[in-house]
Amino acid sequence: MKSRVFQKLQTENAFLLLMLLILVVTISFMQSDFLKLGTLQSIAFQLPELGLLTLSMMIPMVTGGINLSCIASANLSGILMAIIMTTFIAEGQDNFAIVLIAIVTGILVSVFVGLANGVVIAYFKVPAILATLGMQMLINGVCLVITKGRIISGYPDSFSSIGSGSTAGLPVPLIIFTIGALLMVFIIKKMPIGSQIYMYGSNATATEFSGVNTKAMILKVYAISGFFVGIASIVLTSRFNSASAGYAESYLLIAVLIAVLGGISPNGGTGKVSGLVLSVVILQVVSSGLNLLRISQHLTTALWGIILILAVAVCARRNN
Amino acid sequence: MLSTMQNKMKSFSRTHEFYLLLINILFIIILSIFTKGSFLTFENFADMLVGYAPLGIMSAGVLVVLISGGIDISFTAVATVAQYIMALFILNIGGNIFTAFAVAAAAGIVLGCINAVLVHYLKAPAIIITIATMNVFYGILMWLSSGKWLYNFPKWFSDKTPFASTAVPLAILFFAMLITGIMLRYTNTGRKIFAIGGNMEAAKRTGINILKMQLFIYAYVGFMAAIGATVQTYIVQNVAPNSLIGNEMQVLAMVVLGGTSLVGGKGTVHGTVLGLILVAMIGNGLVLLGVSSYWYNFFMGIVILLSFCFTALRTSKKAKGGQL
Repeated sequence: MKSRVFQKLQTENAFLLLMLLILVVTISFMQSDFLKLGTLQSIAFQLPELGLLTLSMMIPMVTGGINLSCIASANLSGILMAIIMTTFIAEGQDNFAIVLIAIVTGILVSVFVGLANGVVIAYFKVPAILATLGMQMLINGVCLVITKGRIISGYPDSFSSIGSGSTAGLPVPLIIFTIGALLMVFIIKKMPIGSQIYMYGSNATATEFSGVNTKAMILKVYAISGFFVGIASIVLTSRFNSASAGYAESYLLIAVLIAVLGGISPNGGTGKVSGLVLSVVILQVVSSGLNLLRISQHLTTALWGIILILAVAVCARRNN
Repeated sequence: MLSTMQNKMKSFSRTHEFYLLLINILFIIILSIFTKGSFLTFENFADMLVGYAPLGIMSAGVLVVLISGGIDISFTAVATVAQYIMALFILNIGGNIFTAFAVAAAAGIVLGCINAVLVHYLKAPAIIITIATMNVFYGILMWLSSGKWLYNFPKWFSDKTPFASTAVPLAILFFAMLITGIMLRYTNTGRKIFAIGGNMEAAKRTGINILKMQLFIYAYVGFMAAIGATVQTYIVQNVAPNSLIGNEMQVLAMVVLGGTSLVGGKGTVHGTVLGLILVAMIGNGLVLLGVSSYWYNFFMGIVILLSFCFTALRTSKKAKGGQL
C-alpha cells in the first residue's frame, strides 16, 4: 500500500497536484481573501478560455510542432462573429438563428486558418514554429484591416450569456471547457489519429514509413487545433463582451507554458490531457494570486517567462 | 579569364540571391512607375535605408544564429534593454559616443550569453527558450522603468549634422554586414558556425566545442541587437521601451527572404542585404502609394509566409536531389 502511494507520487500528475496544494496554501496565507467564493468563481470563469487555448496548442505540440497563430486566429474569429451579430441584430434585440450562424462562422474561420497552417507545414515543409508565426502576422494584419484598430462591441444577451452565464450552478465556460477536454481525450484515445500523432512526435520518419499518410495527418492536426481555437474564441469574445485585433496577446506565452508544465514535451511525443488540465488550474491560481497580491503586470509577464524556463528545465531532466 | 568570369555569372544566375535581385529590380521599376519617379530619388532611397538601418544591423546577428541552426526571438527585447541601459548611462554618467556603443554592446552580449547557456543546457527548442527570455527581459525592464520614455540626451549625442544623421547609420549598417560577411566566410569561427548548422552531431564529433560556439553565436546576436538599438536611439533621439519590440518577424523575414535556410547550414550576407532592401521597399512603397498603415501587417505577413514557403521548398528539393 505504502509503496503504491509512493509510486503514484512519482508520476507527473501527483507532482502537479502537490504543487497546486502548496500554492493554494501559500497564497491563502499571504492573502486571506483568496479562499473566498468570489475568487473561486472568477477563477472558474477565467480558466476555461486559457484551457481551451492550451488544448488547441496540445496536439500540434505532441507532433513536435506548435501553433503560435492561435491568438491571432481567435481574434479574427471573434471579430467576424462580432461583425455578424452587430450588423444583423439591432441593439437590445436577440435573434438566436443569427447568433448560431455567427458561432458556426467563427469556428469555420478558425478551422480554415488551421488548415492553412497545415498546408504550409505539410506541403511546403516549413517548420511549424515559423509557419504559424508568419500566419500570426498575416492574420493579425487581416484583423487590423477589417477593424481599422477599432473595438467591436454590443452583443445580444444570448451570446453574452455564454461567457458570463451559469447553468445548474456551474459557469457555462467551465462546462464548455470540460466538454472540450473530454473531446480531446476521445480524439487521443479512440481515434486513429490519436496514436498517429504520438508516433509522429517520437519519430516522424518511422511513422511515414509505417504507412501513415503524414501529410493528411498534419492537415487534420492543425484543423483540430483550429477547431479548439474557434471554441476558445467564442468564450473569449463573449466574456470580454467585445472583439479587437490586439486582445489576449499575453495568453500565447502562457498557453505554451501550461502545455510544457503539463508534461507535453516541446520536442513532441508525450503529453496527457489530465496533466494539461491540472497545469491550467495551477496557472490560473498563480495568476489570480498575483493579481490579488497586486503584483505589477510586467513583473507577472517576467515571472511567466521564468516559470516556463524552469518547466523546460524539469522536462529536460525527466527525459534524461 | 573571360571564361571563368562567365562560369561565375552562370552559377550566380542559378542562386536564390539572383532571383531575389531580379525581384528587387522589378519592385524598383514598379514603385518608380507608380510614384511617378519620386521613389527612385537618391534622397528617398537613402532615407528609406536609414529608417531600416537599425533592423538591418540586427538582421546580421539573426543571420548568424539561423545559419547555426538555432533561432533567437528575444533580440528585440535584448535591444530594448541594451538601449535603455545605454540611455540611462549617458544621461546620468555621460561619456562619449564610443562609451554609448560600448555600454549597449556589453549589455547585449551579457543577455545573449544568458540565452546561449539556457539553449545549451535545457535541450529544448531554442525558439521556446528565447520566447521565454524575451518575456523575462522585457517584463523586468518594463517593471523597473514603468515604461518611461528617455530623451534630452547630452549634446555630443544629439547634435548632428544632416550629413552625419544619414552617414552614421548607413556606415554602421555597412560595417555590420561587412564584418559578418568576413567572419562567416574567411574565419575559422565562421566555418564552425556553418558546420554546426549543417549537422550538430557531426560538428561535435569533429571536436568543435558546441557550448563555446553557442556562447559566441547568441552573444553576437545580442551585440548586433544592441548596436542596432543604439543607432535607432541616435536617429530618433529618444528611447521608448515599446518601439523595437514586435519587429522580430520583419527582421526574420529579411534574413529568410535572403535565402537563409530555416534549418541551418546555409545563408549569405549579400542575400540578407537584398532581403533587407526588399522589406524596406515594401514598407516605403506602401507609404508612398498612400496605402493605409493598417495594411502593413497584412502585406508583410504574405511576404513572410511566401518567403518561408519558397525557401523551404527549395531546401527540400535540393535534399531530395542529393538522395537520388
